Amino acid sequence: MERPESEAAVELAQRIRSGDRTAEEELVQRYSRGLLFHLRRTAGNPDLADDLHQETFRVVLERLRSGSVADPERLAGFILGTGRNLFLGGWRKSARRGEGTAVDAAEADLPDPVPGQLDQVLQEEEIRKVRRLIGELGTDRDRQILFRFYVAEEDKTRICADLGLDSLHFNRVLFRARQRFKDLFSQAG
Amino acid sequence: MDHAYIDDNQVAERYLMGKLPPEEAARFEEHSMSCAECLDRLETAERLRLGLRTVAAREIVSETVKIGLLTRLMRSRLAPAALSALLLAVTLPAGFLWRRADLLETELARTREELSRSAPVTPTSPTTPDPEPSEITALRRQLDEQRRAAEAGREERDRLAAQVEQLEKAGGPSTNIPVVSLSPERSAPGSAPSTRISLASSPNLLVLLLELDATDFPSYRATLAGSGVRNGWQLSDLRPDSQGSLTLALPAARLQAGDIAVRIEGIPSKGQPAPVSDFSFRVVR
Repeated sequence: MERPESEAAVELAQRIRSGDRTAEEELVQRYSRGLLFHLRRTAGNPDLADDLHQETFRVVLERLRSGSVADPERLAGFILGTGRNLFLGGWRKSARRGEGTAVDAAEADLPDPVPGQLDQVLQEEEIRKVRRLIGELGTDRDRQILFRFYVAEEDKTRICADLGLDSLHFNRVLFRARQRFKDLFSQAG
Repeated sequence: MDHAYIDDNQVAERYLMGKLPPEEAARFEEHSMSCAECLDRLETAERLRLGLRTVAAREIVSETVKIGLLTRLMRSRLAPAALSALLLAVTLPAGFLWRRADLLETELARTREELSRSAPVTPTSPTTPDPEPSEITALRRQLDEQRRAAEAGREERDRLAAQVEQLEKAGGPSTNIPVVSLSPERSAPGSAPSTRISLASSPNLLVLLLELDATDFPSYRATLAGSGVRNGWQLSDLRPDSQGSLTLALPAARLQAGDIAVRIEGIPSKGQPAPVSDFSFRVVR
């Protein structure tokens, strides 16, 4: 059985403080993907998120080596908070000085609203997959569930009441849609 | 966190939509940092959400282009059904935009809060707070844009809803439609029309039969102007019947008391339209 997150985090923090280099690698491996996902959503710019990701681990490792992390049980929250603070700090410095370093300010501009050619191709590919998924849905009611939940962001209870569905059916439609969508991507990849 | 609970309650999706209570959002966020299964959920849900939104947005753009065909739709038997579909396409993104505006407002509040808390971490914290940090300005601008778009979407939806209602009412058989035959005007231009048409009974349609002196053109164009017709009207691609008359069915609701002049022009296969006949009548309410 997998160990609880808090237990694993405390052990990692202790090992890093005692100078264990492999523990540092484990830390990066454990939290890298999650940190990147959340930073991309926060920054809205993949390149900036990549830089923040690297800088976050640098700061976090320094704090862990010096033993200055107050609550190692909540290491995941500390890492994410550090990443977000770096992002916000970049914004503030950029706004105040009108200049900055690579991570601090230069990329902290608003994300480019015009996607590059490669991005556009990727987007088109995603759109094709979404259309395919919609086409494969069994009934018009299932299509309505997806659009009302994901696009109009209506509550599940309201959608279920309107369409005369039970919660189980709703969950099943969403689960299958997500699963099929994932399959479409893994087939392409 | 319990994965069955996460699935049954769409926790990943609700997190992405900003609909989780703050404590649950923070707990899920921390959990997802090291849970590959939940990161899969989040990534797939995010892609699916963005993809569906893009598809919905493209549909609405395509439908908006079709709004230009609304005048023709108004004359079609399929009008109520077509407008209902269009209304649905407008309603979904409008709902989304309102929701998005709410989310941005929440995000703005959270960013303000984080900014106020993050001061100790920033190496060069200012002694006085920034009057308006740039990310707040950007969020505010984005929020205003979303609100404007949502408002436009709501107005469009309401307008279409009114049209759907009107057309649904008009969808059944119509009776007691006034049919008026008009001859070309012979009197001096500017004189009062000799034909008076009463629309006091509020019919749905007014049918005009316009007798042409000659039918030499492949098609004709009618232009209606005057105090009796709001914003004027132009109808193209008219073809005379075997008696040499053009038939126009006008929605009576768009006619008001006043004079209306109808100019008919012939449209040759090549070259400019040529005046053919002028008609006039007075609408009485």
